Formats: sequence, structure tokens, C-alpha cells
Amino acid sequence: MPDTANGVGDTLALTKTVAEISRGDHACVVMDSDEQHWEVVAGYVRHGLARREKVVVFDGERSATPVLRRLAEDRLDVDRIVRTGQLTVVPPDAMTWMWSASTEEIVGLVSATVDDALAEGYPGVRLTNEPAAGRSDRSVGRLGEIDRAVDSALRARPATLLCQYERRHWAGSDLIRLGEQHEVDVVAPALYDDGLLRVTRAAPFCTRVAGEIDFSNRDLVRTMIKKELDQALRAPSPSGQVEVHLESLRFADVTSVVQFVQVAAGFPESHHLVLHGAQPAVRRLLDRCGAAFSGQLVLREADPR
Amino acid sequence: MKVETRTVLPRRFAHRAATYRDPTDLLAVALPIVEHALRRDAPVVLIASPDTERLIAEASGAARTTGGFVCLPAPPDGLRRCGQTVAARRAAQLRELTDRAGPIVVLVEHDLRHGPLDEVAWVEAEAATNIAVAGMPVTMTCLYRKPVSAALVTALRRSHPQLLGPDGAVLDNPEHREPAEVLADHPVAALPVLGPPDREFTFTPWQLTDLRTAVAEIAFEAAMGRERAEDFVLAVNEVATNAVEHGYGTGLWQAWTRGHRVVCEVHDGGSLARPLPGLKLPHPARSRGRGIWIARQLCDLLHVWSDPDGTHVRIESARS
Repeated sequence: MPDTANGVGDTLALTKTVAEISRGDHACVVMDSDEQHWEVVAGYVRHGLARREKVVVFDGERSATPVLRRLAEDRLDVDRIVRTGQLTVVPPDAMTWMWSASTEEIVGLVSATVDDALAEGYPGVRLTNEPAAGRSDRSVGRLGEIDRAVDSALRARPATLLCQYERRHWAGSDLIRLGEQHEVDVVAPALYDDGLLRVTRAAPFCTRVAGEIDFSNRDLVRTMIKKELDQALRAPSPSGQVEVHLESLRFADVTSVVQFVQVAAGFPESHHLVLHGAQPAVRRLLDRCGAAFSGQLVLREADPR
Repeated sequence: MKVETRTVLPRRFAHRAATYRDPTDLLAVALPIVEHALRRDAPVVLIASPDTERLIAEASGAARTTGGFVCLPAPPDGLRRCGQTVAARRAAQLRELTDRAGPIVVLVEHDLRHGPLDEVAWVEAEAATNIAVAGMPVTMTCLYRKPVSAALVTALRRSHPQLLGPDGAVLDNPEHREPAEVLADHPVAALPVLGPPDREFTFTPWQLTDLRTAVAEIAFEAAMGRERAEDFVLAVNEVATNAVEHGYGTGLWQAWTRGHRVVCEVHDGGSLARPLPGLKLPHPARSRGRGIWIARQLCDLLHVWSDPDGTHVRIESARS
């Protein structure tokens, strides 16, 4: 059986991005890092909200707080969507109960959640949970049984499921078996992800940097931006901009910020380095490192929510 | 053709020393310097006791001039043994003034009875001043009260390129030495030991993120406020980065919380290429060497010293 990019081998599964998940899908994703987890779940929530669906996140061991933070970085009014109930975060107690409940009880809970959402007038509901760890009480067999039962109960209902698994907690063979339970594999490609820093492409010549840049990974910044510039210069219709979104950059050390400034200073006059949405601490450091005096560097505030 | 006449003040740092016996003698030395500056509309910065500030201001009639006085506040008591931080702070204040007003004249009263520093930190402070203020259009005259103690004699003779003679004439000082040479003979002293730390762990480059998390936690415990806490985390990160980059790849972080004050120390086994790093504003074209300079601007105290065991840095900050 060939493996997909995620190592989840199911020849019948469709591969989709988070944005391509559609109502009724029962999807799975294998996580390699926390940043990937937050990016995928935030994207799943965001697209559900955009389709006016209700989104229910079952919170787990690691807390949904960073997911909500990522949603805020994605310019969502988190307070509003939580207050209106369109996004519901189920407290960790429910997950703890689920692991000790029978399959029938779990199916009953999930079905009731869908019933309630539809009764509230939502056209559909999205469900997801924190990645399940590969502990003995969460064996592949048990998870598979729950997955099959939930899948049967929700089939033909306007419900979308995203099951998350962390690669580090599971053997490759387990991931293949778990993947076989799902009709959709979700891929979330990154240009770079070392567990501390994740770089993804938002558009041509436009990347998004999430996490932290420090001594352990900062050389990447200069290399990445230079490569982007190189590609931009070779593009048939150059936009004149290399854009980097910093909304989810939570820490950058002095040298890496100096690198941003100095790399921009090396841009040709035809091109600018545009940094979007730097958080206050990064923005202050950019100012301290002379960003205002670099003619080729443009700082743009984050888009309003 | 317009001729610029206000060029009598040096455009670069001039560091001079003079001695005096009593307030009357101090006035005799200081007043000509003040009057010369004020006649040229150059601001005069006084770093002195309140009595001396009043004495000089009244004698010179500063209130009637257009240049006027700027009196810098004495450093807090917590910096009495950290001459490098006092120098860094003063350099930041002087940079702000010179950016705004151009060349300035600075008078510093060095009287152990009223001074902001313990005797042990004077040599360090003078050497650090030579590094931190270098390149600024500042003419600084340090006024030492006689009798000058042994420690202050070293600070006076070794760290001042020029001396003022009895008649006010500026003389080259043949005993002047560069800061590195002075500090090789008079190494920066360690700060008093704080006792067992509240938290500590060793780190490598890959644990810098854990270190930042730990520093953020103690800053939160000290109720420092978001911006100040973020700045403190950045400062400690820069010091820790230096430790793993210039040490042997590992460092030791220790922390103490004292109410709303947080103290961290970072130790590594490396040696310093030059004493007192991060005092001089790095050139914009240089990508390296800016971290410690920024760290010094972001915290209340940053003290670097070395010994046969390696290099040590103490960093302090408190809720503002």
C-alpha cells in the first residue's frame, strides 16, 4: 500500500488541503508540530465559520488556548464567535469522560452535538478534537472502533469531522491503520518546520512565519527571503514585492530582526520586502534595529478584524 | 559665504579630569567650563549632588542663558557596584541629548561621599564611559575631590586622555590607557552572591525556547507587565545566546525573584574577547554585536564579568 505524503496509507482516500474540506467529509491529519496543529485547526475552524457552520472543538490535554490565539492572529474576532456560540470549545473534562465512555455513549454525545447545532439553525457542524496520543488506553483498535461508529452515525448528516494524530505518538503502521478509517487525508505543506518555527506559503512570493526565531534556526530567515527574492526577480510579471506575514511570529531575536532589515537593504530598487502584522514585541525590535531607515523595507499593520 | 562659528567644541568624545579641594575650589574649576559652553549655546549637563548643581547654576546665572543646564538624576542605589550599567545609562541619556542639541559639555562630580558608586566600581565606570560615549560630541570633565583614594587615582589617571591643569589648560595625559588595558589590570568585580537560586537549568541552543518560557514565567510572577516582561525575556535571550554561541555550546541559567524584582544570571565557560561587551552602539551595517547592546537598553542592570571559570552576566529588571 503506498503511503501518502502524511504517511497515512489508504489508496482510496482523497488528499485535500484544509480549505478543501467539504461538508460531510470525515478527514484525518497527521501532525508533526504544534505550529502545524494550531494552523490546521485554526484553518478548519475559520473555513467552517465562513460557511456559517457551527464549529465544536473538543479541548484536550494541551488546551485550546493556542488555537484561539492562532485564530486571533488570523484576524478573527474570537470573543464574538465564542460569545455567539458559533465556536464552542468543549472543556477537557468531556474528553476525559469520552476516553472512559462506551462507544455508544460517545456516538450519543456526538449525535446530540450535531442535533443541537442544527436545532440552533446552523446548516452544518464541524467537529474536531485535540490530537489523540498513542497511549495504551487509546489503542489503534479502540480508536478505530470509535471512528467507525461515529462515521456511521453521522453519515448522510451535515457534519464534518477532522481527526488529528500526532506522528510522534504513533508507529507508522498504526498511522496507516488509522488513516484507513478516513476518506480524506488532509495535507498541510510547509516550506520549513522544525517544531519551533514553521514557514508556509500563503501565495506566490508571500510566506507566513509562525513560531519563534532564535539562534537555533535564524539563518533560515536570510536564506528563505533571499530565495524568495531570487524567484521574484525571475518571475515573468514581477510584483515588486516579497511579502512575509509575521502575525504568528511570537519571538524573534535581535540578530534575526537585523537580518530582516539588512536583507531588505540589499534588495534592488525595483523590489521591496513587505512585513505584515508584526506583533508588538517584534515591531518594537524592528524599530530598534533601524527598520524605519531601510528604504526597501515596508512594515504593514495587520488587517483589521 | 556663511561661516559656522560654533565649532570650538569637539565633535567627538573628549574625556578630561581635574581635581579640587572644596566647593569653592570646585567652582573655580567648573565655572570657566560652564561659561565657555553657555556662551556658545551648548547645553551643560551636570551629574552632581543637588548642592553642587545649585552652586554651579547660581554662580553661572544659567537661568539667563539660552543654553541652560540639564541635570541628570543620580543612578539608583542598586547600581552602586555596577559601573558599566551606570555608564550605559548615561551614554543613552547623552546620546538623546546630542541627537537633539548637538555638542554638549558634561561636568561630573566625583566625590565618594555623595557619589552614586562604591569605590570598587569607579575604575569600571570610567573605562566603560570611554567605550559607551566614544564617538559622541561630548566634552566631559570629571571633577575629583582631593584627597583622591587609591582606587580613584587609577580611574583618574588611566581613563582620562586629558587632564586640566591648575590654570584650566587642557593637557595630554601620558598615563592614559585604553579601556581593555585598564580592565586587564583592574578586572570587573563580581556582584555580591545572591544565595541559592529559585530556579536554574543548563541549556543548549535548542533549549533557548524553554529558557524564554521560564523567564516569561518569573516575569509574570513579578507582575512586570507585558511590554516590560517581553523586553526582559529578549534581554535574557540575547545574553543566553551569547553564552552558547561564544561559550562551549552550553550555559547555566539561574533566577531569583524578589517581590517585583527579577534577577537572572547566565554563566558559560567561555572567555570574553573584549571586556564590557554591548556598551558601544554597533554600526548599522553590522549584523552581529547588537544583541547585548539592546539588552543593556532593556533592563535595569546588566553586569558582565569574567573569571577563570568563564563569563558571567547578571541581568535585573523590575516592575516599572
